[in-house]
Amino acid sequence: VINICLYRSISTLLALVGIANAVQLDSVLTTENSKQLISKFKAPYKTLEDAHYSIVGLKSYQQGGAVASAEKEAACKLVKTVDTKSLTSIFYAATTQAEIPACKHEFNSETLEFVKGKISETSDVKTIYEAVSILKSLGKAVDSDEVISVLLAAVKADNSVLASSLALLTASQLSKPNLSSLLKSVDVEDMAAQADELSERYLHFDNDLAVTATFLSAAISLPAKSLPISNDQVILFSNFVLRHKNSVSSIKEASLLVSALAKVASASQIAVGKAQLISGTSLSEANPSIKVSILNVFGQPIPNLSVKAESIIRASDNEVLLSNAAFKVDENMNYQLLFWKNKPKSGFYDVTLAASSPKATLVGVSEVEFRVKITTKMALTNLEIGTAEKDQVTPTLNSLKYGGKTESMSADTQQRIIMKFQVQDTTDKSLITPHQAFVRFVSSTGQEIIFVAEHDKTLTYKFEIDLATAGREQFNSASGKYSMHLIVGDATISNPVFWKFGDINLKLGEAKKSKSSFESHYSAKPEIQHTFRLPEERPPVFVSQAFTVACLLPIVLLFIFWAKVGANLGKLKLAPKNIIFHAGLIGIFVLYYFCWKSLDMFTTVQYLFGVGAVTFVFGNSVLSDIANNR
Amino acid sequence: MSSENIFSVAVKFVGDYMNRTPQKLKIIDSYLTYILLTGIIQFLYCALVGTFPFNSFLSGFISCVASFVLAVNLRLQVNPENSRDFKSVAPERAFADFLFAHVVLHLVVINFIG
Repeated sequence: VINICLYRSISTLLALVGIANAVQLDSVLTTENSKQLISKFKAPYKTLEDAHYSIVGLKSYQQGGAVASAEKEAACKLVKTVDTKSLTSIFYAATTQAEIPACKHEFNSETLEFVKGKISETSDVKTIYEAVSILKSLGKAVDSDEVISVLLAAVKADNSVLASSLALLTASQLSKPNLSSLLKSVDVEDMAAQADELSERYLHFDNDLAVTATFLSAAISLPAKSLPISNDQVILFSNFVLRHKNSVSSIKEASLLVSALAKVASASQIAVGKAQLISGTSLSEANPSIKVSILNVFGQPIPNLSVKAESIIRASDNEVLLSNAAFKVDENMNYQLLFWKNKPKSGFYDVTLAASSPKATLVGVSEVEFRVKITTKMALTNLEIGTAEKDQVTPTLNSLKYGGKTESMSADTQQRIIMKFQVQDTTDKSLITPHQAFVRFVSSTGQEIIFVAEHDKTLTYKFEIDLATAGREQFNSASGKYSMHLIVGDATISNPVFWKFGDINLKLGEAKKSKSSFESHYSAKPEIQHTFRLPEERPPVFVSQAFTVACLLPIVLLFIFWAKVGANLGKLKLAPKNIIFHAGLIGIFVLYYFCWKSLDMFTTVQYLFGVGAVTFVFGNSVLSDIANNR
Repeated sequence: MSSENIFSVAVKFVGDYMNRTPQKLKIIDSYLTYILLTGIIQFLYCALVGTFPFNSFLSGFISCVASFVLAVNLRLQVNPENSRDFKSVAPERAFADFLFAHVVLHLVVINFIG
């Protein structure tokens, strides 16, 4: 069962990976993200720069909507503190007051001349951008051709991405500019192609949010019928910008991020959208529709789309259920498709979405695929339970209703417990085979034993345990009252069953006392007593004594033989050396006797040398005498 | 017929032995018989009753066997019929060797008897 589940989850995962191949928005700004970003723009402001970026950010986010009065007042106060000697300061003040209608700050003609003077061949792109922006926000006329020509010179001096982007932003403010000459020097396509790609999901310049956001704004701001960068590139740049939605460090970064996204959201040429499945992947009678929303980068629904399911395919057998089915739009701008209408079988379905917009090219929602599952309700039917003798072929079983209870049962080790049931899909009354079907026994002490119920070819689940073996192995021979539970479940079943259907009294013989693992590990082990080898059984004393006598008897025989042969000691002379010699021999054997009884080998050998030497000397003398006398 | 033959051969053998064997050799033969019987009885005990205590049995039995071998050697050396083979060994010298060998042997036996 686990294997099948694992297989399914892996295949689902693979399907998800497949989705990720088409270029899509990673995320959009959620309400939370927006709140967090907007909170950065709230008054009071420390400097004129902060006020400028905050007002620009707020305006961008609201796409031209009004700014709250607290922010207006705070910003307007700072506009009055403008430093007319600094072009940047004038730029901040002029652009900020342009966004706030009630706030008017008059710049004197001296200042205007100072600004105009900055539009020259020797200025850099940023200076020209600021000067043009000031003049435009104050409603003064600007000579488009002159600006383009000085921009060309400035871009030649500095052709970085930031400078080029600012040049484009400057040009896009002009009325009827002659863009073609500028676009010859600033190749937007080439710049986009030079951007760094990160894991096929992000495009960026040197991992720099400010540069990337400025470039994206500039590319989209250009007054052209088609964008200079591809749709996929727009999405990838947007992904990079959106990636920083939780990690902007300054008001400036937040403002750049929001205004770049605002440009993307309000672009006339394309609509970047992200499709989201909001009905959840699990569909049932209670949740019968596939619900999809298509949002722009700000997380707002894109209006007036036509959305349809290109195809809906059952994952198990690749059967196409629907094709080109249109979604209906509801009052919340969500798109719905009533899928349950056709009473689909429970299982997994792959939905391919297609959406189009009548106004602009809708990007980011092509080839969107997702997998939904149809969950169904099931019913347990033909429930039967009973016990049978060990060799009984056709047991008699009692039928049982789901939700009911059997009367108390009992069984012993000579019997089997048998249970049968079928699982029915309530929608079409067909028999189904859920992944998981278990029978669980719980003893009064909380010990639980779980058996798997397997189905046969007729899709009938049969569960059978032989208590002779199971009683020993699974139940650990623990007799007693057990409650019986049936567990049936599946990912596509919305009413899984966990049902206690009765009690059973099992007689399984003596329970083994199982020690807890703690006890068996740490309690004292029995002491080990060394046992010496037990002596062998001795024979009766009488036998030993009899043999001792028997061993001594032959010496009597020896004397008899000697007497018969006529041995005598007649020639023995009682000379002192003879006596000493014989005494020496006897002494040696007496010494051996003492060695056996009490002495150790070292002392014995010491004495032996003494006695042996004397015996040798005298023995030599005695024997040579005998030899000489012969 | 054949049994008579064997019997007569045996009688002749015993007669010859009694008449022609020197007295000294008969003394040694008696000793050999004694050693042999003692060894057999010890072996019987081992076979019938048990080997316990095994070291004592071994020392007793080895004592018998070794004594028997030493006595046979003595008999060979003092036998006049073998005098040609043992020209350099006088019977007294043989006896002295016999005694020395016994002293060494029984030192081992005592050590082993336990």
